[in-house]
Amino acid sequence: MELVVDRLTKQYENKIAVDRISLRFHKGVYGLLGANGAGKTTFMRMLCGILNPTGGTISFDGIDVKNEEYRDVLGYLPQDFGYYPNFTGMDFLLYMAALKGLGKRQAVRKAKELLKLVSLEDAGGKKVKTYSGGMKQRLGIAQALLNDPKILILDEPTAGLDPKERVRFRNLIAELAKDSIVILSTHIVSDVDRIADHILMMNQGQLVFQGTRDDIEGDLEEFYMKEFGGEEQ
Amino acid sequence: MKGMGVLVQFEIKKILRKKSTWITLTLLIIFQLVLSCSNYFGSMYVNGEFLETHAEAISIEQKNGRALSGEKIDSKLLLKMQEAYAHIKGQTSEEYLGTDTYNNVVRPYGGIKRTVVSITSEAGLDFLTVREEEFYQARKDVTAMWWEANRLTEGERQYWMNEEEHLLKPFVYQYADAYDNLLEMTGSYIICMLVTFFLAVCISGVFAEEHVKRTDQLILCTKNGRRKLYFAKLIAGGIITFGTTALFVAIVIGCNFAIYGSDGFTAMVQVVCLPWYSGNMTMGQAFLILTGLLFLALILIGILAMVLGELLKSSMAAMAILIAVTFLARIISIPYMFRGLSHAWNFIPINLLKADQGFFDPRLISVFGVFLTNWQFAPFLYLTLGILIVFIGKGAYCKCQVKGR
Repeated sequence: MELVVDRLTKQYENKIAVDRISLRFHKGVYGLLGANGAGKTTFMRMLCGILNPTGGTISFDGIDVKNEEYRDVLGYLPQDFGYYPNFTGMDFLLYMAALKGLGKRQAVRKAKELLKLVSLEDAGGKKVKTYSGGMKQRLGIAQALLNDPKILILDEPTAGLDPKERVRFRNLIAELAKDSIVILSTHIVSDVDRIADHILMMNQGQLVFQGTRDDIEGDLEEFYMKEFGGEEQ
Repeated sequence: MKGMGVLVQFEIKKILRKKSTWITLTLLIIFQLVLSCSNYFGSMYVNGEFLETHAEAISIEQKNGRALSGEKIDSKLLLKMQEAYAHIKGQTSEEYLGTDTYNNVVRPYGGIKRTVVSITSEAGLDFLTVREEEFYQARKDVTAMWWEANRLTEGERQYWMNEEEHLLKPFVYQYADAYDNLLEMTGSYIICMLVTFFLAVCISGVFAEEHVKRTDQLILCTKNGRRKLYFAKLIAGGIITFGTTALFVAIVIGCNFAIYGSDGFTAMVQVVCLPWYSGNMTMGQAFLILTGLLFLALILIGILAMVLGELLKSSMAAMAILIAVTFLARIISIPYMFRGLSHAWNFIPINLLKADQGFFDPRLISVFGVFLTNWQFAPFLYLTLGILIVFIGKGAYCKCQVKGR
């Protein structure tokens, strides 16, 4: 299981959002840190195939990012996304399951299982427009897991979660990472510190650090601040 | 295709769960009902005095029309009608309406009179004196004038002359007020206009709203989120379009048949609504063809609404374009002197579905030496345009990227 990113670049008219990033991902949790505007979201969108790179390639076990087979093994939680307000939580998951190619029975079973996992089993029949921010975020996490993804990309997954939910989420990620590549981006250093096996740091589109937690001596937050010269966390 | 049915169901659910869908649909149905039934309600007054209700008048016209149905419009019938109308010669409507002579002697020939006057008034003849030969010659002359006004080529004139030979003369009168209304007043082009508004409001956002609501990020990275979902959305929009059109057609047919009766399927178009048309077609056939074109045209408009929304990434922009084109098509009339443009203008669905404008347009399309009328050519045109729009939309949707935000 290998996700290969080779010289990945995204250039807009007068800005390089992602600058020649090359990486190889294997099973485990990859924490991507960087200030706002560092290029994390652009990088993740390209990994999901919803944004074409200007240059470079992405492939998973030889399958190009543009292929349906690639999308079949992908789970994605975007940073800021909308829902269908008139759908119930269950409807939303069943719809996403249909998009992910799950059969009807499998979809119902999986949706119920995930609603329970994210503590929304009692709210599954309620319309999404009645959900709080945290409930929506948990529903978003559930949809990303519907197809048991081999590549799980989570952009700011802990935003809106309360401390108890964050702990549960971290445990869930640790469990999933046994069989999958989990890439999560955040600018909350403590989240990464607790769950990431590998740490990636981005600044102005470039990968400025790549290593394991053990490669960093002392406090991760201090290291991060040093790397970014005291920029915003 | 596996899973397509479920996706279509969810896409339909998305459209039907929006409040705007039901509000728009309800308002348009009320408008259509009012339009279809308005003739039935109200009363007639002469010099301030009650004469009869519209419902009574329709019932009398229906009874009289049915009594005359099947009669040939020949010298004998023309004479009977003229003798009857001679009783009120020189009188104003205020003077004769409501009298026994009018109701019992004159009024039974009202249907024939309307058909005869539609020709004689155009030809400058008096319906009270016209004879059979003069009447049919006058129709021939008016038809020739119509062809001239439409700048028909020699080949087109020959085509219609050949068609004319298939028309049985003398014409046979048939009561067909319901079909007359279905073709002219409350029929296909009104439904086309109303359903176009519905589609502009309710399905132009099928693709566009995914971008506006930022749900595109979720769906575009799923296995079936591109090609399969594109077609599922189009099918869902198509089903909603078909269902809405069927609902409006049912309302219009129901209202007209309930008010005027269902008589007249086999009535000649020339006797009921367009005397100078040369095609051999009954009112029922014309209505069925128009209805078929209506479904086809609206499915095309539905596809266009959805794809425009995707191309412009905005349902409002797509809505504005659709409504503007629909209005402009009805408001702007291209003079006959610009024949090509004027003919092409009549292929805009709302114009084609207006019976006396696009549908019965005498100008023909020559395809490999074979002449086709507008209604024969339109299905090929709409189908080709539909396929083209589907492919343009597919290219745009499947290559769609999530930028900015």
